[in-house]
Amino acid sequence: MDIQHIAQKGLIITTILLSLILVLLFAAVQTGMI
Amino acid sequence: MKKKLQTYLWLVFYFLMVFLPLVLLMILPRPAGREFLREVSVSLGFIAMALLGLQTIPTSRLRFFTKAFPMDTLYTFHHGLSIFTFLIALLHPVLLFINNPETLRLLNLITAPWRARAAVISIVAMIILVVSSVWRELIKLKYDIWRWIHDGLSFLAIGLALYHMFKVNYYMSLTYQRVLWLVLTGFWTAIILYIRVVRPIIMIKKPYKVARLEEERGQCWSLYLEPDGHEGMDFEAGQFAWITIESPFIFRENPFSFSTNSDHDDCYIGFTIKELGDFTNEIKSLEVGQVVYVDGPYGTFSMDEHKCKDFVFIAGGIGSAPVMSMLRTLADRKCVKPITFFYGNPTWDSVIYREELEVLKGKLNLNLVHILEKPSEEWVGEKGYITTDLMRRHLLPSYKESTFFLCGPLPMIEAVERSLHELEISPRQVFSEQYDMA
Repeated sequence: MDIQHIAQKGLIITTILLSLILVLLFAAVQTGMI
Repeated sequence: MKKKLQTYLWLVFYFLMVFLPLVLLMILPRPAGREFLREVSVSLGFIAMALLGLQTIPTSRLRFFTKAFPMDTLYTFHHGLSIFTFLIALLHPVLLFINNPETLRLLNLITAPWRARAAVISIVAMIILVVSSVWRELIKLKYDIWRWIHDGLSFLAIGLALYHMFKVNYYMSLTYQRVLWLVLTGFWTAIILYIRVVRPIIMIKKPYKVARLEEERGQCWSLYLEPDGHEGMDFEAGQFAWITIESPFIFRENPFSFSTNSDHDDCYIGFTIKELGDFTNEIKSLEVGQVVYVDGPYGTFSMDEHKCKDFVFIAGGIGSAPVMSMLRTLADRKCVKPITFFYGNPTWDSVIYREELEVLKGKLNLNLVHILEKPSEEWVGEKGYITTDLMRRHLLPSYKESTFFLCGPLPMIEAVERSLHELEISPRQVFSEQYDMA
């Protein structure tokens, strides 16, 4: 795999992980868990 | 450096577009929270909406975007991210139903309020969108028909999801959220207008005419075009353009790599096209003087974009078209750098540019390696596929410093990339382009 395709896959994985983290963080903040 | 900066700026812009609404909700005043699952569901909905609108960008062919990223990776990115967007959009109502099963009644389109109806229809549109895109070839949906379905359902899904979000009006009751989403919607609409209206007008204003059409081996045709009433376009060898013979407003266009010399003094541009069905079968029927519309150039698959000590080209079949453009250009530049070209084809009779490649061997420091999948008994050259051992036999001793350009169908690219990994070639020295990206 070349560097551009690795970067593209990395960006999708980063988006998925960041989405999940932010979603859980938001719910935790809104429900007073944090 | 400029390109790197451009890439980083795009990444910052991308993350802002996706996460800013949710991040602002977390740090600015907001309505009181509700149950945990409900808040998870709502925030998933926000991210799904942002990602859904953002899908207009990767395939928009905006010049300052396609200069930073290879087009085939943009399409793969669009595919991958669309699936994720669909999954979290689907998870949004599922979590609401788990949190409060009474909300299942909102699925009844007759009794449900309009905000719920819009959400249900939007999800159904997304389901059809994903099924028709992922299994397009399996359900034998023609590319141009699929594209109309794809665009229509996309607009429907985005529009109805926005309506749903504004109508629910919980977090959207905040002025800054309303303004932010309206700005995002305006941005997406501007991109759609550019794709659907502005770009077709630009193409119509700069038409091309068929200058000549030449039959090649392996059911291929070389199509040469001349600009009609304008100066034509500058491209880099290895790049490609989208071609259509109908009105650009019909969007029946296909991408083809330039196969001609990019340093040409005349304004002609040329493509070599293989008959693979649909639009490509119509190429041979084109007549000299017929109007053709061209949108391009695009792509970062170009030797001019990278510093190359020497070149290794690896192509299969019609994947040789962009390589031919690079070889013709290098010959024109009187390049003396070593070039190795691994060229895979089914049979000797299907080798496109066979004679011209022999001529180019006299003009360039070119080591041409033909690999035939089904050779005749008399064939004494390489047989089978482009493997690690085969490449090791023909590469320069200093091959770890070479720059590799790969073009062909995805299975070939993946197999060759595995071989290059075995040869300990850094991914930074490998550039590839799938020719069946669209």
